[in-house]
Amino acid sequence: MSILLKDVHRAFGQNHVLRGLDLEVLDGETLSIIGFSGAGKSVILKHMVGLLRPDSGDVIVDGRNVSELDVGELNELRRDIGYVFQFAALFDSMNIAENVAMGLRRMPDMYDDEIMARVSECLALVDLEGTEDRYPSELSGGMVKRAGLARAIATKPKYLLYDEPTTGLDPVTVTVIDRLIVRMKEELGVTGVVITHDIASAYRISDRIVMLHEGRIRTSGTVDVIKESRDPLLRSFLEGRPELAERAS
Amino acid sequence: MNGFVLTPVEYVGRWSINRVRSLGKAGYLTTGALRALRNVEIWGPRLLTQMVSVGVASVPIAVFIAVFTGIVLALQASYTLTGAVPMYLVGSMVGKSMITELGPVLTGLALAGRVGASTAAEVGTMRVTEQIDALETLAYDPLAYLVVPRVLAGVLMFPVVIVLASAVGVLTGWAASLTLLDMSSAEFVRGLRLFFVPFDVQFAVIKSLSFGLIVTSVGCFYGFHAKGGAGGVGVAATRAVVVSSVLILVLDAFWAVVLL
Amino acid sequence: MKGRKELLVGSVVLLAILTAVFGTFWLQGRRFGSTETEVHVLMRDVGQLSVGNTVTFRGVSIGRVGDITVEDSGVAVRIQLLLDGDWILDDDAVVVLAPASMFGDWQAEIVTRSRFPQYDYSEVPPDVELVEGVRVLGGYVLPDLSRLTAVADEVAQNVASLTDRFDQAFGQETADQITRAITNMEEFTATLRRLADEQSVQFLGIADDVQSATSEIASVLATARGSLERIDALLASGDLDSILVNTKIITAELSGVSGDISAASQSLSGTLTLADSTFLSLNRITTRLENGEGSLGRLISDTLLASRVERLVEELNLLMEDLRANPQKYVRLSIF
Ligand SMILES: Nc1ncnc2c1ncn2[C@@H]1O[C@H](COP(=O)(O)OP(=O)(O)OP(=O)(O)O)[C@@H](O)[C@H]1O
Ligand SMILES: [Mg+2]
Repeated sequence: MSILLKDVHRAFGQNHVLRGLDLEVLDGETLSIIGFSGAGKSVILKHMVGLLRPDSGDVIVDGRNVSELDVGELNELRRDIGYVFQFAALFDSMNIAENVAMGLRRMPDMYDDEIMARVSECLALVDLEGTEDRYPSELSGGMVKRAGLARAIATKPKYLLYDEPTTGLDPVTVTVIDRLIVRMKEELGVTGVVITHDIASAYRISDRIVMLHEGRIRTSGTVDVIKESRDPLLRSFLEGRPELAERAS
Repeated sequence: MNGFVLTPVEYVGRWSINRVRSLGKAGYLTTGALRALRNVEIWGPRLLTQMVSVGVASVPIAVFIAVFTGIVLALQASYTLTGAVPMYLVGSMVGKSMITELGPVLTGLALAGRVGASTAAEVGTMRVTEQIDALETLAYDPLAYLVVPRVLAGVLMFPVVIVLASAVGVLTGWAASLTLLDMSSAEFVRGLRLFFVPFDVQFAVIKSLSFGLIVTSVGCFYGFHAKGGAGGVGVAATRAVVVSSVLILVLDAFWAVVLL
Repeated sequence: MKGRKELLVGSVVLLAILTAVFGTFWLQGRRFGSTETEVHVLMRDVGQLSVGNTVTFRGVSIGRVGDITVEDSGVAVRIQLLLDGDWILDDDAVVVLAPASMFGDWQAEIVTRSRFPQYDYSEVPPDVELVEGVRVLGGYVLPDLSRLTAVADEVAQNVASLTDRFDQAFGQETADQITRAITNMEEFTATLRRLADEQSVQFLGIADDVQSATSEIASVLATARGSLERIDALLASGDLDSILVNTKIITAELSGVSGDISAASQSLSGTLTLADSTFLSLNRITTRLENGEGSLGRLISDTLLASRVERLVEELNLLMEDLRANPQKYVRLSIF
């Protein structure tokens, strides 16, 4: 099962963000979405978990049309999806352990000691051992980000949606997280969608990369195809050269 | 030309559309919250915490207000009652107005500030920092998790706080009558009992329940639909306080018409 | 942590519940743990008595009104009295319902029939439904202000028809004179009625209203009395000419008299004295009319009308007596 977006339109008032987007994420692959800031990458991800609904078009996840699900079915689907928020969105009234445990408490047949064991395990995966009792406001930006990641992977979901999981982390931690993403795919067979501005990291973790521009997929392909692409806009993005983009438009 | 003619009309149109839209949102939130009542496993564990923050933590401010209201009521009553009217009516006025009117309304207004603002600010912050979205992705119904325990706590705890406040108000009114007005306890109690009917207490409790419902649900409503950053949260909190205060007064009149 | 929260919430909630429940009981004047004696009263109506009003015995509060229900037959009302402690009531015990204060609250007083023999107590029918161990008593409702005004109204109307006869018999001026007396009478009635109607006086205006109502009554009564006294004298003299001559003087004096008296009658009791004497004058007139004394009296002596007026005045006098004895029962103001 996979994720499929068909001719999705979504506008916020006058701001037409998604304009007939077609995107398919294959089962078990890791797809990276790149694109300029404000292009609508986070919006795409939110459509995949039903946080946003399309104005028109279909969002099909795991064979189910997200916008047609009722609350119960949507919750059912969401148990299979982990979402790493761009700004972590940790619950600031809870300590890190409780934050990570939140998803687990919604799982049937999980006992407290199992939950706590799983929490420690996930925190260890993101190098956050020993922060269980601290509150989000007491952690650094990078630590908060990783705690958000730990919360998303805690329930061992089939799908993981990462919204800029490595932005703002130090190079070593970036590598740790990249490896984690790859491990999730290889060991657990997770289907992953990663939004990233870190091109090097995208090359390392992705099976395929797509570029979002003006509400549609501008270019898509495997890492090698992307690397070889002649599209000036893509090149401008990859090489960080605005003048190429100007020439393209 | 056209603009001149149309602008007021358009304005009214937009205003009406917005009203209807927020009514729709409120209705959606209400039905959602009612449906969310089923998810006891989500709101159940949160209820106690909310009962503490909505109810127990509000007792000091409510009592503080009641103490002064009681004293002022006694003095005011004695000032109003001159000449032919017997002093024991001070007891009647303190008791009747504290139990049926001032206890519920003043406490309700104070709690509209305290509980309404904090509810809107908490929920609003969670909205603008995507914590509500995060709840949803973790398969929690945000209505069950955030709204239901708050509203239930309001409905359960407002009467509790108001009963205590009214009792304190009557007691301080009594004390003030003894010390400042040279009345005797017997006189005050006579007046207190003279017009008391048990329905007064029921009336106050019914009012309090509705105030609790209004303050917490208005707070949740504005918090839930907060937009933008800290500013948006501030706007939500302000609106929540203003709207719930107004609604408390409207409800007060409503109950007076319906029940008296 | 969690246990502490539960304890906190639990104790606050319990405290509130206890406050509400015990507070209600205490304010109702109930006592805890002691026995209660239940007594029923059957009467045709209950006046303004309501559930929770006090029950007194020799002026002491000994219980409260528990319940008021209309009997299945529909002809009587059953009042349940709950007395604190054990009570064995006198064989000829009856209940008098009356206002307890000036402010609209009523009370049920347990008395013996022999103490107030003048009242027309309701009797307990022999076939009444009995609850075991519960005495059923008869009772009497004291009239309140509205009844007083109704009777006074009727007097005024009857005196008005007397005037019509005056009018037929004498000149315009005489008639005017008497009409004015009647108007004063009507005004008095109206004031009394207004006072009764304005029972829901606004919270803040109580004192003012009491004051102004009192002085209003006072002045009206003064005028009324003055006029009536003159009529009285006129009737006694029985001289047609002097009636006409005196008319002017009476008219002039009326205002002076009423001014004096109203100044002297600021208090409620003063008002009541005045009211009383007004009715006394009226009574005297009626007596004379009935006896056919004086030329006027003879001319208009119509036994039927006169006796009607007399009967009414008698009733009024009875009410006045009670009014003087218990003034606070008749002036009813409720604040809330
Ligand atoms: N809830 C919303 N209400 C209104 N506008 C929104 C909302 N969410 C997103 N937008 C608008 O949609 C556009 C795309 O936003 P989005 O967050 O998807 O950008 P992005 O591609 O993730 O950018 P970045 O790389 O900076 O995170 C923006 O113009 C934004 O203003
Ligand atoms: Mg984004």
